[in-house]
Amino acid sequence: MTNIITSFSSKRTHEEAVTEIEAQLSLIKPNLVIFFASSFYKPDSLALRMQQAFPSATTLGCTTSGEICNNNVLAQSIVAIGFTKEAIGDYHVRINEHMSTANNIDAIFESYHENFDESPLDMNPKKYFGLVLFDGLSNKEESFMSHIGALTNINFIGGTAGDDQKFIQTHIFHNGKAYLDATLLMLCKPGIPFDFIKTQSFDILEQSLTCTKVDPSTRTVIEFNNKPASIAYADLLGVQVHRLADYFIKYPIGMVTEDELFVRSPLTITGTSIKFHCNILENITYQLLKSKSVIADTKIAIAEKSMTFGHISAMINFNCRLRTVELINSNSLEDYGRIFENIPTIGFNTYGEAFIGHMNQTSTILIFGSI
Amino acid sequence: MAGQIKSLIDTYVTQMSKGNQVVAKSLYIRLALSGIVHSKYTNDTNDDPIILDRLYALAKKANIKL
Repeated sequence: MTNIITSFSSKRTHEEAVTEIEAQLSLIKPNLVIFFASSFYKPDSLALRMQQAFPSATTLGCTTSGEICNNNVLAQSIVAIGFTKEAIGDYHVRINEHMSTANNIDAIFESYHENFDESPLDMNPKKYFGLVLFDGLSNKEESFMSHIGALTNINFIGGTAGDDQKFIQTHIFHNGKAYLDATLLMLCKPGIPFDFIKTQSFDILEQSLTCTKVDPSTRTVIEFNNKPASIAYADLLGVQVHRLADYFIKYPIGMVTEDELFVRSPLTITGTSIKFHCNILENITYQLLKSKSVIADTKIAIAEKSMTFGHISAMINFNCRLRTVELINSNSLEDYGRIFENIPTIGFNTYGEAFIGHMNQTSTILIFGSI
Repeated sequence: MAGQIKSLIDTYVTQMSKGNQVVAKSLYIRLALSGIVHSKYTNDTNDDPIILDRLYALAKKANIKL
């Protein structure tokens, strides 16, 4: 019997779209429905309609900047995945509202302790995983991930909600409501095997930038290597400052630690400062990166994980929107979709990815096995 | 004094990870992403009170005695 099922709809009204998804997911009577939806749909109406469609299930998700379902790389659609109680029956979902000004992570973890009758500090990372969905405009992902990591060894994976690259408003969905300025945290003890993939496609170059002055509240680097940030970055690339932004997607920077790469992507230049999609830390050295094939590296990452994990029965893919920009630029969007054509998959184009920490231009993927 | 930071990082990671090497690696990464890069610290590194305070605060959250 199938315990996980995926579905999508590109119907133009939320009523039609949810009705189409309801018909497909209801085949397994889901206990948990995770959905990602374009900001094209009215968030309040969509959240309510999804809960009405699955009244006995927990529904949760967020808005996006593009969606993925199986081999379809989509825009202005809704994608959803349903889990039976046997697959995921034991979970606890909490919303941290007003996340720009309120951090309720301690209280949320106390509720996990009560719900599972086990301290999150003692939970076995092989038995539990966490899912996290952040508001897309809060700039708080790093502090929240750091706080979570201080309270548990359980891995939390997820992404930052989008709004189709408008950067105005993103929404988190839970049980019929749409929340602004919120984080959703789900701690889960599934009945099926699970694991994680983190993949990014870059060569690590020898050149580096050390951040010497930063405004962390706005993720803005004022100086690299004791020079105005944009001048130091342009010098490193050997390009003129007024052309620098054209090179950001292909040449971001990254922190390399414990043989792992965490990409930090520049967003815009203001004056001589550079605003990033991630916090850049003072007195930390970042390597210059050069992008390579997203398709090839994603295929390798999935194949390598399959060798150790075994059969992958489903995936949730938190894929950076900048990777999708690269795929569009290289006319490879359909090739990317084909990677997932034999694995039930949903995902979305994020404004940031979460796994251990917060990062950019990365795909963090939650994978599931079978009962 | 010198060398306390390296010692506290190692003690924190050992106790928090309970000997699990995969978890220990994640913990070193988490610390690095927050600006505490353990490879930068040796037994001769001067003790920075700000970093020490951050490590004690982390340990307190996890009920770890450093």
